[in-house]
Amino acid sequence: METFEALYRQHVDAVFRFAMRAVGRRDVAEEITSDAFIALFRNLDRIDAAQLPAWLFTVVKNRAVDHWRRQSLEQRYLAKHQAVQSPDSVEPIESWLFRHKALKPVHRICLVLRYVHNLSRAEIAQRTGLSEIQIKGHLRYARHILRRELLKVAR
Amino acid sequence: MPDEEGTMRSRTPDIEPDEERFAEEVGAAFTEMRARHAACPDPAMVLAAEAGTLPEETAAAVFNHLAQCAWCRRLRADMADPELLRLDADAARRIRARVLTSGAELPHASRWLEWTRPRMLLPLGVVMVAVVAVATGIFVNRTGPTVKPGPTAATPTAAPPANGSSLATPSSALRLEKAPVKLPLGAVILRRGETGSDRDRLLSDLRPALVPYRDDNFARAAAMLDVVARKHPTSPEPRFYLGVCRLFLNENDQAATDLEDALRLARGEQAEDAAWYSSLAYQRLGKTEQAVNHLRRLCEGHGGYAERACTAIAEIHPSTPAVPKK
Repeated sequence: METFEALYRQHVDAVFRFAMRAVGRRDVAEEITSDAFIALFRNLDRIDAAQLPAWLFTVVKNRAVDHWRRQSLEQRYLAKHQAVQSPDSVEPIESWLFRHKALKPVHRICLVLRYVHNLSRAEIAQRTGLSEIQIKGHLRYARHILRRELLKVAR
Repeated sequence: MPDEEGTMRSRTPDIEPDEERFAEEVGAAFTEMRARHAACPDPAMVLAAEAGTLPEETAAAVFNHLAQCAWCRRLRADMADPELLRLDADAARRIRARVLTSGAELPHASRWLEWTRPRMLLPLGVVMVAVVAVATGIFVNRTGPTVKPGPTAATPTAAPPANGSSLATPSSALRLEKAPVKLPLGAVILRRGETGSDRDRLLSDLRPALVPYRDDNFARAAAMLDVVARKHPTSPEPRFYLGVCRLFLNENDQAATDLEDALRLARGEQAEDAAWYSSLAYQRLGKTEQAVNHLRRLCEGHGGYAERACTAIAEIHPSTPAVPKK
């Protein structure tokens, strides 16, 4: 069995990426990634190396399930989903947001989380791992692009 | 003009003036967009559904929605962007510190090996010879710590927030990096009134305390350094390393006190090191003015921290006027 250190180095990136997908928040993803490796450390003698990283992903998944159970977010979504249906087509401004070469995924995510989902910069920081200053910068940039394009359309 | 949902300020309390102007200029378009996507899930839920971590009923609703909503399908691709899922250096350090502080005891032969690091076991006889090397100081490699992209296994992290300390908005220039112990412990300044035996005793006490520090075991190092600092109240080195340890443990109040003590006792480059880490502690505590006071002196100086200090001031206190270059 490799040393714990070697296993940590080998798997921490992949485990964190999975944790991010599983909970969508960096702070929680860090916490459950740590929990997974702490659990690995405590059970090192009982685990076969061939079981990794699947064993770690299972720990992360279980923690993530607990996390979502504690959230009321998914319950609010269920209530909304039953009431309103979104259109399938993508309206002009939305398709423009995805078409414009100057906007990267990080700009769009900041923009959508801020102006569609009304999150604070602190909440966006929790999701993305960006600092609030970086988020401010991305939003400022995205607004600049949007203003320039919308002015063109208006003319 | 407020829309039906209320003003943007009421929805997002941390709004900036430019955002309010933006809302006035293009508000209608975004209001309509919000209305069109009122049924869309939080983007985080989309990836979570795919990862199998949402309750079954919710996951089914999300998948059903995705099948019908092109907007959410495109956002899903953005959320899965590798850049947003990447384990950055800061996160890697925090995870590592958390694992280390939780798993400090090693009951088995399979050990958590220390990161590759040279041992420093020079004899005390090097003390006098090393006076020549004193110019580079004991605290920090004078080329200055640099921030490397990606996970850096040799660079440890801070623990999750403790003591109820709230963290001020972080500055990308004012990042916590461990001050490496790069010189032989013999390279220590002999101060006026100190005898070689005083320094020998300090070195003898300090060396064991820096072993867990080098191993990123900050809790243990802090406990040992605290004892050394009390035993040698006029020496800045134990206070300095103790302050750095406490920063990694997120004990920011105590870190600020220790680093101020080190600053008071230190001279020259040692004082610069203490000032830099003090500013970091104050910035974390939200005491921006104290942080900027230290940073301003570093920025105006010609030491290794000058550029980073000037950048940090611009980031955390933009209204502070730029320091004219000498």
